[in-house]
Amino acid sequence: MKGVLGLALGVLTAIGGFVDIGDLVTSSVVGSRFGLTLVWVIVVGVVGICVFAQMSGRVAAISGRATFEIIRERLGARVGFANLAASFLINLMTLTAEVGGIALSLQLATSIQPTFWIPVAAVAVWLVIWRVKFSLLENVTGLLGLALVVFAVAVFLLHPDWKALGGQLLLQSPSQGSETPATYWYFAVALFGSAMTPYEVFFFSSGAIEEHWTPKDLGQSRINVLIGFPLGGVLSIAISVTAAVVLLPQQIQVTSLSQVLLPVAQAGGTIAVIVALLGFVAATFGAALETTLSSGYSLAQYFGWPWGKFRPPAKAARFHLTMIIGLVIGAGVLLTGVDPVQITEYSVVFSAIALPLTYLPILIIANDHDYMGDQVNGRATNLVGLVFLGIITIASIAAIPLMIVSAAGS
Amino acid sequence: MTASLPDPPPVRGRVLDARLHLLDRQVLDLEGQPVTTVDDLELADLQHGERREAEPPTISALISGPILTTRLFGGRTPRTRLHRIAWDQVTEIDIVLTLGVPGDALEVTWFERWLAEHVIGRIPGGRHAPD
Amino acid sequence: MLLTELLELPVLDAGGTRLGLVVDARFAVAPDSLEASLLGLLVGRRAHAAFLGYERKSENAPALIARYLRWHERGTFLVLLQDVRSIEPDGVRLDSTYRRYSPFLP
Repeated sequence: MKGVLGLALGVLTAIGGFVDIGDLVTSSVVGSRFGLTLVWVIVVGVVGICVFAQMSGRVAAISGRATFEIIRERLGARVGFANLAASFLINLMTLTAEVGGIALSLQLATSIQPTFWIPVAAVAVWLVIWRVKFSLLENVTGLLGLALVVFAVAVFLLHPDWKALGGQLLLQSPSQGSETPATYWYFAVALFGSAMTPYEVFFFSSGAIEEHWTPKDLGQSRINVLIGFPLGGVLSIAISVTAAVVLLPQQIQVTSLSQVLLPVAQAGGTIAVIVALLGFVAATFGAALETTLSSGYSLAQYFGWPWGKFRPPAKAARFHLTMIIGLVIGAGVLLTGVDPVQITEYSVVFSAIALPLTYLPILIIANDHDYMGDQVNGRATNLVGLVFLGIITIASIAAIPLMIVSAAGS
Repeated sequence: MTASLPDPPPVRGRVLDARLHLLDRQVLDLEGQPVTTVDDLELADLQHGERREAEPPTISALISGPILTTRLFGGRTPRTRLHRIAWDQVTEIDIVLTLGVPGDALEVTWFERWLAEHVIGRIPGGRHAPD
Repeated sequence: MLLTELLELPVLDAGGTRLGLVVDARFAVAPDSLEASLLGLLVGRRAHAAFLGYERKSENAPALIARYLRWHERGTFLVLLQDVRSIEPDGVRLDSTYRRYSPFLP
């Protein structure tokens, strides 16, 4: 049992990266518009986040330093601050979206208006951060988030034409005549940026410190990464496939969370919908915890404040105040009636700044003997790391022009 | 062409570069608790003008707090608003700097202590680690 | 004086020709007392010069990044404190007999 629970950090981190509220809808949108022609992006994203999350976990376990400490240390106050500003905005926008996502999921489950659920969700997230031990938090949300496996089950229950689906994987251009290349590549960059969103490494490396990992735990870190992130990727792909099988032929354009559920309802009826809703609540709640904590982690680590849930809140006062303010802002923004899903779309812009400025220092520090002793990166890891740094840079440069040309994929 | 320059004469002790090894590093107190980051360094015996001193200038203090705003956005921080940690309180220089005093005794942690005392510590459950 | 008041100051030779900017300050730390005395200044070509740690000869990986940054910061040199004639708010002036040393650390 300890072995299973030991994987929770990886699973919870991956949930925030692959099946948070923005991704739940985006995966479905992509499936309903492009079929499976963008699945390769998720696969590439899984490999990329595995490589860099493992690197950040190793740096944390060996040197005791979490990711934003090394960003500030190696890039300096100014460039580090540019990354902090961009990353913090991504965190704040995503945590706002997730609180909204919890409210939307609970609305689907109860038919009670989200304006009621928004404050409830924000307070619940705060209470968990305030009083629940890190290991319990990650185990419960990680395990409940696995309810989203129902989408993978639904794929089989839908008895798709596997040959036709397989054929879509190889297509590199949009299968529907109405989609332009700019729109296709906009979604490719958005999916990639979301898979590698920087708060995953902030959370994973800080989680490693929260759990007091030492060099002895490197094996556990590797298993966390190799199981957690591919699992997140599989869930994301499964959502896309259900949309491609059910919604694409009917020309249904996904615009809301309830439409994401349509294929599951068709495949498995009410019970499947209930399980999927449970998965939605757990995944959005998990992602809310991840982004709220990451906002505290990144700010505290940049400024050198005490942080961490292993300390009493009064021993990490600024860290806790940051998260309280973040949740208050998030809930306040949501109560104005904005669409939570749309909020996450704009985080692509800030990812263009944050992604390279997060992954470059991780790669450099993972090679620094002062930090890593003789456990520096091997040649193969560096080669893969460099290739992904190249992809990240290209995606970052392309993100904003593509967003403008494709009008954010619309 | 840089590679062809001669090495400087050897010196006693460890050689380090201020920006690379000290600036923007985490500072921990004697119990390993985070205190602040090194936002600037104070150099004693280094004044504007012709250099006449026989002894080289030394680092006299770590500077933290409002000076960071100056580094980020420019301008000047009044000398009275600098939070100093005397260099002789540093006991270890590694990937972090370790002090030989408790963080609570330092001026730079006043806001953390004030917040803990008056806000965070007053919320129920704020003084115990989650269980 | 604060370190950041020294960093990014222009460096001029005795004739007033601009040689670059102060990009870092090198110290010798006494093993027992940890007293840190200024050895010299690193002079680079631009304000945001950054070796990102590759000014240490021991750090060479990933080779692509290490080589690129060393090429990008080529021309950086170390000048010893004894060759610094004056430090003014608008720049550092060197003696006419100043020598350039390798900027690299072991």
